[in-house]
Amino acid sequence: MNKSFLKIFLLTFTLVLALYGALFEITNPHVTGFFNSKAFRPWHINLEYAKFDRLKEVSAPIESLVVGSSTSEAFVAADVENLFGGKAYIISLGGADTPTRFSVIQEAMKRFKSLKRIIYVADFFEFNRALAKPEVAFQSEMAANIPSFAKPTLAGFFKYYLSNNSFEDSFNILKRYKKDKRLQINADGTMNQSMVLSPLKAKSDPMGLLTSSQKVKLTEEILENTQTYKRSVLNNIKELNPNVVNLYKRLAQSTKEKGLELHFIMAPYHHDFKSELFKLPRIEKHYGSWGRFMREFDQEEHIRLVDGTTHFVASEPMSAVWRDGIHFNRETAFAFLKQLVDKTR
Amino acid sequence: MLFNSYEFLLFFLPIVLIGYYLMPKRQWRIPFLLLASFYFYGHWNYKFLPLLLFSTFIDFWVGRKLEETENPKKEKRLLLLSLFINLGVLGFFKYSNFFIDNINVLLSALGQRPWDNIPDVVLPVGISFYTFQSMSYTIDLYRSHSKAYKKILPFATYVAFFPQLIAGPIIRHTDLVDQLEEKAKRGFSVDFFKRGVVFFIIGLSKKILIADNIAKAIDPVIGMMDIATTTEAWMCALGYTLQLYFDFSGYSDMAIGLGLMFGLQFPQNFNSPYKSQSITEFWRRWHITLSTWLRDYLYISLGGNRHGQKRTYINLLLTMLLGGLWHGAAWTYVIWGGIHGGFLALERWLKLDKKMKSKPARLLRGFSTFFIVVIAWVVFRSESVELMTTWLSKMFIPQGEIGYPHFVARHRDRFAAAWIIGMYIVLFKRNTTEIDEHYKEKAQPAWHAVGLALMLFFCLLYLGSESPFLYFQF
Repeated sequence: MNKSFLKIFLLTFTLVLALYGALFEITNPHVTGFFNSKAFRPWHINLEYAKFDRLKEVSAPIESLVVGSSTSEAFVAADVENLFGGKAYIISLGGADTPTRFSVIQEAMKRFKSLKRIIYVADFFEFNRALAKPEVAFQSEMAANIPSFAKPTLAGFFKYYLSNNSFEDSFNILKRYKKDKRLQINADGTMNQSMVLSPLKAKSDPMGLLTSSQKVKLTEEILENTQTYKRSVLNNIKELNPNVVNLYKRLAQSTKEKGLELHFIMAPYHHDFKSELFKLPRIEKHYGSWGRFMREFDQEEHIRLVDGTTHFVASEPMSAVWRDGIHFNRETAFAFLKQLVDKTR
Repeated sequence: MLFNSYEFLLFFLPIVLIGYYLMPKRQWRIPFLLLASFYFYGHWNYKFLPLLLFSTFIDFWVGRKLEETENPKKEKRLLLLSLFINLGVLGFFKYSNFFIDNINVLLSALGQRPWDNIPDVVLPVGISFYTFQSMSYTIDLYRSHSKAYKKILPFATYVAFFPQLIAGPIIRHTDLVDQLEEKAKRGFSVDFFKRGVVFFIIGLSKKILIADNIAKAIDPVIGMMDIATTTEAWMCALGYTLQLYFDFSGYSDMAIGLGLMFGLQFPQNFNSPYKSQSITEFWRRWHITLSTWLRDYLYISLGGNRHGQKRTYINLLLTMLLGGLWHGAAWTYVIWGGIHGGFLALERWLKLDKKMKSKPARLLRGFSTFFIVVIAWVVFRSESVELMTTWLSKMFIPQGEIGYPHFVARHRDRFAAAWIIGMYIVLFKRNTTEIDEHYKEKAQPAWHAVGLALMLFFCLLYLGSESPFLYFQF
């Protein structure tokens, strides 16, 4: 009797797995399926791929490329164009690891002969892991530029394929298809939903201060950020990841060889968020190492660096430019760009 | 490596199961299990593997020597050596930081320079569990309750066996060593394997579908208890009560299930503890292998109930205080142990087990026991005395807002669903062992197999957000 119980169990489990596999392959929500089904392609939800794909359609002579994680969503192409001149393109990839950013930079360098400068918004968290997101690593077009050390393992493949995100996204595609909802990327690489990162509204004055009730809300956001960072984004950080360090050095080298300017902006954290993180001494130690590593680039002739971590917004707990502990606003981004321009002169 | 990880479920477990049953010679099975267990432990942190080996060798050696001698003085010296080494290692790794922190508080209060520059001691995972297991062997031999083992491999496998190495159940050597040797000679049992699968999937679901969904909602709010509302303080307390049960009993179910897959029967660790009518009954149902260990090796060693009523109460209190401290080096664990020890003594003094048998009285007893347990869990969960006092004052002194604005919207619904289902299961449904007993002699319905397959599928989907078991920190 136990044999037949196990048989029914195994049969049902296999059937459910097969049904799920079929659903994922047909809807292909991240354009990563084995069979690369195109049935629902216009409604896919792989943001990294959508931005990468959009880049290929740009015909304007791009001179400035801004690359970064969600922190770079505060940058606006018009601001870059006003300050540096020429056309600008923004590629902000939420939570993006370094290999993914570099994959996009490589594509842009190949595509735009007009390119003069890369403005790279550097994040501390990049130096924890050099692992590309599965949506990038398993996407055949993007994967071509991803170094082998950044590709997930077999367990990573299962983790991606058999995950609640992939499961929920498969159903989301059906909803998006029904409502004809598509990812819209603007001609400058931004999205209309950019800047909507949290319910908090940051003030337009980079030197402005919060009221006490606004501070309470910001504190809640910061506490949630802290949980996420300690649990996943920065968990187990042991040293500055050597693969990431090498990728940075490679970027410095390749931009030099191509005669491009490379601008680094070190993304700051809110004072309280940083204090919470620094309760773990290893994070404080590696944050310091990151700062030292980045500042060394400032010595190179074709590189300029703005250290956002020493800016007023990073040291004033009541600073009103923050949407949460990590994301600053457009005015702060503009202030950083202005600093870059001043340094270039 | 966690039980709830892809590495374990898709690679380690299938390889070890297949390797074990297809071993060309059956006498290789125990060494194979031992190596697999070392790999499992070393995967976590290989640097602590020598410590596990040291503890095993010392107790095996003491065991052999105890068997050889009949001199009571020498026996006592050998036992003291085993206790000194085991408790010394446990004390060093578990309580050094706590000891130094408290010394520093004292030095600061006296205006002296604190001891700084002393590096933190890292706690080796599972040390509290395997030292207790290993130590119980030498105590049993000293008390002449059992005989020393001749072969080290089965004993070492008992100490290091991966299903129970990290967070129990705390298995007695008498329950496992002979069983290991005997079962290693037998073939694959479909009955045991099926029971193992049922246990394992129920345990995995308890952890992933209930405990983790509750944790996601309450952890951030506990982290900001300063600004939480009274409603939220209660939601966190009631949430943690269920989270801890589903997390830890889920782990125990998975351990029991893994044991069964290898043809081994582990003891029950949880028996619907929230159905208890008294704190005394609660401790017969909660973490049974720890409470019986404390009873047999600590409470009885302290004199138990053999020296009059007053000493019995003191012994109960002491046992629970030390039991609290076993969980971790913090004053809140000691307070938690004190609360339970105090109520155990009080119930014994009131002879509560013999009174209040009517249905309404039983309901009242059940409710008040649950209430005490919830309050005690608040103490247990608090990382500091400050958090404990803030949390408890939020619960009992209502002020300001009464809603739950700090519960993140995307976790609220899952928290509510997990909590309602969880409460229904703990109060009204059979526990995993009862389900197992129920279907030992009769066929389990086919729809259970379908349900388990679906549960496993959903567990696999949610494995990505891997989270360690709460009892790993102990």
